[in-house]
Order: sequence, then C-alpha cells, then structure tokens
Amino acid sequence: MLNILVIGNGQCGNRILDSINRHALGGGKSCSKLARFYSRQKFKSHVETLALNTAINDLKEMKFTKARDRIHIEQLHGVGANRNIGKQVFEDKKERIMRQIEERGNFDIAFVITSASGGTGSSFTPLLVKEMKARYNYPVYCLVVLPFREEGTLYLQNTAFSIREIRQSGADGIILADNQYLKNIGGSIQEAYDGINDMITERILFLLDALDSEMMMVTDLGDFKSVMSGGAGIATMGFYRAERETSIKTAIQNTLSPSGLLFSTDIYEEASRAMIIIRGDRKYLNVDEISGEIEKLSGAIGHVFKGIIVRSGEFPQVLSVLTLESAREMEKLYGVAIQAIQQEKEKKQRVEKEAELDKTFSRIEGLEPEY
Amino acid sequence: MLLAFFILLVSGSAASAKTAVYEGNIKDGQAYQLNNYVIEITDIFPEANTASYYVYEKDKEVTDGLLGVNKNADFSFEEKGKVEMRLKSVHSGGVVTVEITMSNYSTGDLYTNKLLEKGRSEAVFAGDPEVVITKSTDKSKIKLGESVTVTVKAKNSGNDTAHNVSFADPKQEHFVLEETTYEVSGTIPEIGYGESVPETLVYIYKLKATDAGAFELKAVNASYTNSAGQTYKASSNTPSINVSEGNKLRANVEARLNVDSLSVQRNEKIISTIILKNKGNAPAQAVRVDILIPESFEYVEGGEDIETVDGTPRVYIETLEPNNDKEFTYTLKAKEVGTYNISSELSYEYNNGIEAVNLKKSNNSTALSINVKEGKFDFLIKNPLYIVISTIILAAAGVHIYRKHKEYRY
Repeated sequence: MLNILVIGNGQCGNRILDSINRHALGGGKSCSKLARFYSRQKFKSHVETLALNTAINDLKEMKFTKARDRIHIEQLHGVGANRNIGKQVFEDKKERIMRQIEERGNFDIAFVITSASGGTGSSFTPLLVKEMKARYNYPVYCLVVLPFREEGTLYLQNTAFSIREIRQSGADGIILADNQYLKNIGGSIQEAYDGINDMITERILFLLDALDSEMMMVTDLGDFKSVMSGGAGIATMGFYRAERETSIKTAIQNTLSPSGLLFSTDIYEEASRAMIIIRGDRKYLNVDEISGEIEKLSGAIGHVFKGIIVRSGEFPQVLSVLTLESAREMEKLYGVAIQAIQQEKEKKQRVEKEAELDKTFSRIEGLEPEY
Repeated sequence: MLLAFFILLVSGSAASAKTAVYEGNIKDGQAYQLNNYVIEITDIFPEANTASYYVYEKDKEVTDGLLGVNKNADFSFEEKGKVEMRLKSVHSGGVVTVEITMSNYSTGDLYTNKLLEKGRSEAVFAGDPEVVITKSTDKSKIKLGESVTVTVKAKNSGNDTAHNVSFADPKQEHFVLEETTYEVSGTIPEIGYGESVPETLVYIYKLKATDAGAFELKAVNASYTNSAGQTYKASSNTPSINVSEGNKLRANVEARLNVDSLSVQRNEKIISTIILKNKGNAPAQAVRVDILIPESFEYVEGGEDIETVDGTPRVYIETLEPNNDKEFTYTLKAKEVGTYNISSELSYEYNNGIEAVNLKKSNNSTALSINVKEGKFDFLIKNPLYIVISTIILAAAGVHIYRKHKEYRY
C-alpha cells in the first residue's frame, strides 16, 4: 500500500482537496454533507490530506476535510494576491508548516495542488516544494491550476512567476489544469469552478486508485515517475468515463481528445511520454483495440506505459498522463502575462506621476476657506 | 294461648250477652221507642195473662203477636242487633210489666231509648241526611298551562238535616292550584233537606294543568251527622279533564360522543369530540356533561371550554339555544391494553313556559367501546433488553456523530 500525501495550497488548492475528500466518501458529486457522519474516505492507499491557507474563511468553507487537516497560517486578511507577502509569511511559518507534514509520517509520493495565480498557493508552493525536496526523498508533484485569462493582470503575472519558481523548486513534475481551457463547461461561475474542481478530482482519484491497484499490464508508481520525468517537466491529464456501453477504442480516443484533457495541447505534436490506464469490465477490454490505440500514440510520441484494471460491471474509464516537450498554450500565457506585467508597471508609473498633484494640493495647507 | 282463648271466650259471650234496656210497666196505649223502632202494647187481657204487641220501624210494622206471661218475643234490630221482649206480668187496668233486652248491639249507641207516654204518635224518628256533592268544571278539554275552574256544590237530598258537615278536597296531581275564589270556612253546622233548600256552594277554585293527559279530578269527600248524631260520609263525582300538549316548551339536549378511531395502540392519542345539540324548543340552561373515561385512560388536553374536575373532563354551557349545537374536542390517551367504554353524563335545566321552576333532566350517552392494542414499542417494555440494546446503539451513534462533528468542525 502506498503512502500518499496530498496538500491543497491556497483557496483553489483547498477546494480541490475538499472535493477529493468528498468524492472519496462515495457518491461522487452528489455526496451529501451528512455522508461524513456515516462514511469514511475510501482511498485504496494510505492517503493523508493537508490544507494550507492564510485566509481562515477559505478553510472554514471546507466541509469534507477533517479539521486537523486544515492548517491556518496566521496572516491578517490573507496575502491579497501579493506573492511577496506570501513568501514572507511562508518563511516566517515554515517550521510550523513542515512540522505538520512531518507529523503525518513518511510518504511514497506527494502531490501539491495549487492555483498559480492567487496569493497563498502561488507563493507558498515553490517554497514548500523546495523545502520538501530538501527534507524528504519522495517525489513531489504539483498540480497547478492556471487562471482565466480575463481574471486580471495581477493573477497573470503571479502565474508566470509562480510556475517558473515551481519548476526551479525541484518539483518532480507539474501537472497543468487550465481554467481558461475548461471554462467551456458552462453554467455560472460557481458551477464552472465546481465543475473544474470535480474534473480535476476524478482524475486524481483515478490516478491514486490506479497506482495501488492490481493491473493486467503492470503500471505502477515507478512508471508514473518515468512518465513525469520525461519532457519539459510539465504534464497534463486526460480522462474519459463512459456512461453507457462504449468501445475501449472510443474511450481511449476520448481521453486524449481536447474534451478529456485538462490543458490545451496537441498531444501528437507536444507530448513526450504517456501513461494510459484503462479500467472497466472485462467484456469491454478488447486487447486489439487497446493495442491499436496505444501503438498509434507511441508511434507519435515515443513510449507509452499502459495499465489495465479489471472491474466487473463497470463501463470503460481511461486516464491518460502526458508529459509535454513543449506547450504553445503556455507560451501564449506567458505572452499575455508579460503584457500584464507591463500594464502593472505603467500603472505604477502613472500613480507616481499623480504624486505630483499632491504637491499642488499641499499649497493650500494651513489655509481655511473664508465666507 | 290459654289467655287468648279466654279473651275470645269472654268477648264472644259479651257479644251474645243480653243487656237489659228496660224493665217496667207499659200501659195500654203507651209505647217504647228504641231508636227508630217502636214497640206498641195493646189488647191487654189480665184474665188470659196475655197482651198483644206491635213492632214498627218508623211507620212500617215489622212484626206483631200475642205474648203470654213469661213468654218472649224478639225482632231484628237495625243491622245485626236483636231485641227480646219478655212479658213478665199482666195487671188489671191495662198495665203490663215487660223486660226488654238487647243483644248484639251496644246499648251505648242507642240514641233513643224511652217510654212514649202517648203512644206511637209521640215517637220522633231520626232521618238520613244524604249530602250529594257535585264537582264540576267549566271545561273538559284544556291545553297544558291553561286553567280550569272547579266548582263544588252540595245538596242534602236526604230526609234529615245534615249536621257538622266538613269537606275535604284532596290535592290534585298533574295540576297546580292557581287561585281559590271561594272556600267554605271550616265545618258547615247544618245543611237542611228538601227541594226548597238551595245547593250549598263549597268550593270555587282554578287548577292549572302541568302535565298532558286524561285525568280524573279526585272526589271531594264530606263527613256529617244526622239529627241523631249518626255519622255519614259522602263523595263527589270525579269529572274528567283532557289536557293536551298545547304550547308546553321543552329542551331536549343530546350528547353524541365520537372518536377518531375505535381501535388504537397503547399510548396512542385519541382525538375525541362531544357534540351537544338541543333538539327541543326551549333553551337548555346549565348544560353540564361529565365525560366518563376509564381509569386506564388519561385526559391529555381539550378546548378552553373543557375543565377537569377530579380528573373528569367536564363541559359546561350556560345556555344552549334550540336547534343549536356545539362541538368540543379533547384528546385522550390509552395507557393500558384492553377494551374500554367511554360515556357521558348529561344534565341540564329548562323552563317549560308553564311552571315557575325549571325542570331538570339528565341522561347518559351511549357508550363508545374502544379497543386498545399493544403499542408499536410495547415489546421494549416486555423485554427491557431491547431498550438496553437500543440505548447502547443510540449512545454509540450519538458518540459517533459527536466525534465526527468534532472531527470536521473548524
């Protein structure tokens, strides 16, 4: 049994972590709050979850994560999307944070889930990963959520710097999930966020389940590490769950299609390595179809690890983990981020100019109006 | 026993014993009167020691005969009495000595016992007064609450004056005396006889009918004596009066009990109602209903109009108008298994528009039979182990929920 640590950093990370705990109680998206009274998280591995945040209200919103797993890093009113403040807070509270991880034991693998754009998550994660890598031997993977492009200049510049710092922190891999790419889910903002969180959650849970399951064709943690070590250190995940009888060929194709991926990429152009995990009833697991699709993918990108989990009565489900050699979407994001940084810089200069006006106003200091 | 026999013997001999009434001389032409009987002695023959006698009851000859010395003659006297006359001796000059004795008659009752010097023509007889009492009404058919005037008159149709006449008119059931117009005061000293004597007015009064039906007025009784002091009695006729219901008012309150279920589980609540309806035509006053619930039932609650007196729910209404009904709801709880009856005691008053006082009525309602079965959780009482286990399970669940709540509470 694997020992797995999942850390949710900042508001986005907390919400995804809470969603993971909710799904793990059973009942999926429709799991009731009452389920925590009569059910328990059904992880195949030994999974410890930890939520970190400077904003206590974000921690209070979590309903399915145990109180002892919600760690409030005291900082009045959070860090306000200012990564510099966030970094300072982390440095101040580093030992307390690391003690929380230490107390939870030794692990085989760790995931840090965070938003790249916010305050706490984007500033804590690079430093946290760096500290973990310095102290522990297990691999640390970051699941980073990219912002909607229209969310504002601060978020975009945070994203640019945060991802770069995470890469430099020694993280064993970054799995990208792009809100911009997933916003076609539709509905209200809240429904979109919930939908994105659910999509990420079901992929992570599937991955955790697969890493500790018996498979017909062995794919294990070692294979996952190999996949994640390929390419440019960034990856994404695809997933497809059939709701009715579907051929395994269609299921594999869907997991690799834009609708199944968390990040916009042309896998046949940009992917470096892949791992395909297939699960379902034996009657759907046609070896020829599986081999055909895997061969097609490996022919384009190189090596593909595959694993098959037989579950009686289940429709086909397929998870793909793909590391990327390049990412055009990331380049575009950085282009937008540079513009955002420029805008912020210009704005600051304008404000400094407006300080001249203060001198004008100061000329009437000490005078009173006469009527 | 011996003493009784002796008393009987003495009294028997006394009844048949002869009592001397007269022993003495009677001259020819004289007579001896015993009440209305006159013994006349004629044809005295000293030579033959005989004398003739004639016995009259008033003017009617009863017997006669020729009597020798030391010979007896007798005749019946009034109802049971017997008079014996013994010729003791015959004297010259038309005189006889006789001994008259009576038996079966108390000589103390003789109101006339004397020698008539001038003979039978001197005899004065006591008559029989006959007081005829007539009770009459001005109407023979009336309605309830109406009055009838009763007139009582008396007339002596006998042949003697009625003395010391006293009347008695018994109290009349189903009627009340409304007014007395005339009433003789005390005893009438005498009522004469003969056609020319007018009727004597005894009573005039009004009776008010209090009940419907056909009734006979009771007879007026009179008591009087004749000139000789003999007592007579007389009774009047008994006129009939038909009293119809007429305008008599009455309240008729019905109490009807209902329950929402006749078969309940133990400790289950029973919603019950009692409906009071006045089906009469007079307002019912002071209407009171006591709901009689078995000991195994508990009165839980009820409307404001229901109060409990010594554990018995009671409904009280000042007035329930005719054709009005009122419903009261209350809740009972069955505490024991079994079959139980619920009934009510109803009482009320009303004025029938005739009598001054209110009439009181009461009755009991038909009982409702309620079957109380074992409750859903009675098995727990029978087997406390279930309670222990349930409590442990609940406690464990409570602890579990508390711990979970604490585990997730932030």
